[in-house]
Amino acid sequence: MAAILRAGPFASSSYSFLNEQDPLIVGNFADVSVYPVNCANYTSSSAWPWRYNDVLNKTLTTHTGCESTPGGDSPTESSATSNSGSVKTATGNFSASNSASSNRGTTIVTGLSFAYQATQSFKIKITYNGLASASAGQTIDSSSNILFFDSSGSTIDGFPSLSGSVTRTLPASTVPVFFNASLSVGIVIEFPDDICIPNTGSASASSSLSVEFL
Amino acid sequence: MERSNEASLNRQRQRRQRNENLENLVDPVTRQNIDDAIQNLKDYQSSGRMDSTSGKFGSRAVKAEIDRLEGEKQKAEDRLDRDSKEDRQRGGAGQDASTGSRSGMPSIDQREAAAGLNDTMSGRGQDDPTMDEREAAAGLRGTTTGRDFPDDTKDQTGAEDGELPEEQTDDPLGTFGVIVIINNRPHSASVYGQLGPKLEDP
Repeated sequence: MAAILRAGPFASSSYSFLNEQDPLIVGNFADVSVYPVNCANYTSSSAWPWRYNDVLNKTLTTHTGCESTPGGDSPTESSATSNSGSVKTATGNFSASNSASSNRGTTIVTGLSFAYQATQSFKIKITYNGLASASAGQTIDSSSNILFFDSSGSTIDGFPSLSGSVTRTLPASTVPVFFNASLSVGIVIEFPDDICIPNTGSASASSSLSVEFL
Repeated sequence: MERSNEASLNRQRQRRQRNENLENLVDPVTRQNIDDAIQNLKDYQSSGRMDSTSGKFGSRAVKAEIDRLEGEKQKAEDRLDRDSKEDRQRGGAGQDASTGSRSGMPSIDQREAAAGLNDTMSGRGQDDPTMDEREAAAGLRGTTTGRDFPDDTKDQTGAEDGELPEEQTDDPLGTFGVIVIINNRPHSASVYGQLGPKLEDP
């Protein structure tokens, strides 16, 4: 009978016994590096609730007009990036959905992540759905893309929609192991003919991720 | 030959009776079977539920209680041996030890009373007492307290800074609760050992 001493409640790549980080996100998206440690795929314990990080990275680019400087003939735009995230409790399968839009470019990255310890390997199924769309009359820039990636290292991309699922076997581990799945949906629309008039069109992105315990 | 066989049977009967008497020894303080009480205390010692050396339920108190009970048992055993020897010297070993009055010998009840054994039939045929009942009978209460080991042991010991609590130099072992994973399920468990100094967060 193998028994593993509980680590956590949170862990990073360097430390297995951390308290919850507050706030969850410090700096940019890549700085989310503290994960709740769970007992394998067992989501029914009140003594050791199963928790995960639900994270959203959103970048909205807005067409604001054109350069007012004499001689200027370039469109102007502003960009704003926001990061949000929280630690949530799962009592079974769980998911996250997000959407956003702007009149120039929209990128949302939805991430679900957690750490675990397990005496036996277990399987999870991750289902992803990404959709990018532009309002009527808009031309979508070729840089637009939808990308799914997870801890396995593989990536799946497509456009203007991407749907599917992958099954992952998470190996047994005495120390916390991290798993992360992300779906990035990015769309950019070209400037209007009159670049000095902010575009009235929109570029919209939506994404959803779900994790199912098999 | 017949006399020799009879003497052998008598000796066997005496041994059985002596063993039975020893098994039925009752502690005059707690009114509990001495063997049971000793076993309960030893079980408690080995269960890892003791988290201190001092106090009413600490390892010292439990050890002292075991010593006292074993002393009581030894005294009773000596008395039985002495009575048995006197019995043999009187030549009355051939009769039924439980009746005893035909030759003027004392009955088992009388012998037990003389040996300080009272109510040796109590508890027979009854349901086994629960662990709580046994602990209560042995004077042990609140034996589950302290399983969740506090972060700061200083509050428990009342020791000043730089002063080691007395029990740490004597028997620093204690029990604290942990959670372990078995078959991908969380289980509560207790660890018997020494709690080290508090680690600082990185």
